[in-house]
Amino acid sequence: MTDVGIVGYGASIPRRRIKVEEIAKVWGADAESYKKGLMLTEKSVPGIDQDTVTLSVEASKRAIKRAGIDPVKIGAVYIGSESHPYAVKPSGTIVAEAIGAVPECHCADFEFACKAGSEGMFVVYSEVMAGTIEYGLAIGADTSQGAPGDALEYSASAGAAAFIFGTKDICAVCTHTYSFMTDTPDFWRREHQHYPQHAGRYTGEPAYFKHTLGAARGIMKLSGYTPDDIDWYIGHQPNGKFPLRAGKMLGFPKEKLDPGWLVPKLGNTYSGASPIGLTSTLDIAQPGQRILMVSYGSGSGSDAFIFEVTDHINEIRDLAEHTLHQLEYKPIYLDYGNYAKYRRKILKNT
Amino acid sequence: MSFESVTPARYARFMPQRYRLEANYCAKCDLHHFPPRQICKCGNKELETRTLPDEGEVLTYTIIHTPGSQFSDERPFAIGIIELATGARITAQIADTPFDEIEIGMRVKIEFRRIQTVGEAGVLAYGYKVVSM
Repeated sequence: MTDVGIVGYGASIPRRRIKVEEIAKVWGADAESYKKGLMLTEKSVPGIDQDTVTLSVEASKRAIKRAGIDPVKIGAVYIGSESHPYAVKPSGTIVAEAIGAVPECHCADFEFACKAGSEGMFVVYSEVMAGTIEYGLAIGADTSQGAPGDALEYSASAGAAAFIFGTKDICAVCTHTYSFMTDTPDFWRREHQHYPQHAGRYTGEPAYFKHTLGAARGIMKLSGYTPDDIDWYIGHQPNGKFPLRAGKMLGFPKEKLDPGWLVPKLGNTYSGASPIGLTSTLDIAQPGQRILMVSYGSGSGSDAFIFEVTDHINEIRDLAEHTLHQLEYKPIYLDYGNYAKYRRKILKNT
Repeated sequence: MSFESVTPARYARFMPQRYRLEANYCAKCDLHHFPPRQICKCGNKELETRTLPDEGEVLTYTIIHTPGSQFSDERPFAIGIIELATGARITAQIADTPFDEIEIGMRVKIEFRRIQTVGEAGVLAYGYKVVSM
C-alpha cells in the first residue's frame, strides 16, 4: 500500500494577546485561581481584520511553502471551524481562491465543535489514500468566543493549522487512524446565539476524557504500540490541565507533551488546538519518531492519528515560520476595552 | 480598487489581484504592472501573468486618523506604499506594527486580511495588508 502523509504544514497565530489578569479585573474574579485552575496565563486575540478565513489562508501559505507544490494540484480544501465568518457561504472557497487552488478542487466546510479540523485531515487522508486526488489541504481554524465573564472567556482564543496530505516527499507518514464518537451534550451553541453554552463539570470525565482516552487507547491497540513506542503526544487543549491529565492517564510523561502543549500562552484555539500542537511538534520532531495526535470535539468525538516522521522533515521545516516563533514574536497586549472592541463585544446602538 | 461600494460582481472581478497579487509583466521592459493592464506603455500586448513576491520594502507611509466610516474601528492606522518587485508598488495598510517601529526601508510581508465588511449583512471583503518582518 502506498504511504500517505503530511507533505506540508503550517500554522497561523495572531499577534494580539490578553492576560488572565486583565479579564479577571473587569469581572471581579480571582485571576490566580483562574490561572491555577485553567493552567494558562494569556490567550491570543484576533485583530479586527482577522478571522477564520484569513488565519486559514496564512497557515495554508506556510504549508504550501513547505510542500513546494503548485497549489493547482490541490484537489480538495476542507476547513473545520465553529467560527466560519458566513452563516451561509463557504470559507473554503475564499481560501482556495486566495491560495490559487481553484477551480478544479473539491471544497467543504466542516463542523464538529473542536474536532472539525481533524475531520478535514481524516477526509483528505482518505481521499489521497483512495487515489482520487493527488494532494488535499485540511485546515483547523477558529476565532472562538466565550461569553463575557464566563469561564470560557479566559481561554477562547484564535489560531489555525493547515496540512497538505499527499504521497510524494512526505515529512510524516500517517500510519494509523482511529475515531471514537458518542452523542454527548457537553457543549453547544444554538442558532442565532452569539456564545456557546457548556455543561460545567460534565465536560470533563464523560466528555473530554472518555473520548480522548477512548480514541488514544483504541489507536494504540490497533497499532500495537505502547506509550514507550510513541515519542510525542498531542491532545486537544481546552485548558492546560486536561491534556496533561489525559497524557498522564495514558502513560505519557510530560516531556512527551511539551512541544505541542501551547495552551498556557495560546489559549484554546478550538478546531485549531491539537492541529496547531501537531505543527509545533513537527517543528522539532526527528526522523523516525512517532507522533500521536488525538483531537476532541464536543458533541462528542475524538479522531486519533499516528504519524511517523521521515528524513524529509529536515529539508522543509525551516521553509516557513515555526509555530513557537509565531507564538513568541512581539506579542501586542490588549486591555479589556480594546479586547472588547476587537472581539465586537461592544453593542453600538446608533 | 476602492471598497466603498462593494458589490459582489465588482468584488469578484478584483479577486486575482486582491487575493493572489496577480500582476502583468512586460518582458521587453522588465516591468510589472499592478493593477494589471492589458497594454504596456511600450505598446507590448503580450504580457505575462505573474504573482508578485509576498515580501517588499516600505517606500513611504502615513498615519490615518480620520478614515472613512467603514474603517473607523481601526483608527488610527498606517498606510504605506510598498515596492514588491520592479515597477510593482502597492498601497496597503501596515498592520500589527507599532507606529514607532515603522520606517522607510522597513521590510514587510504580505498577509491576507479582512479589509472591510459591508454593513451587517453584506459581503465580507478580503485582500492584502502588510506586516513588519
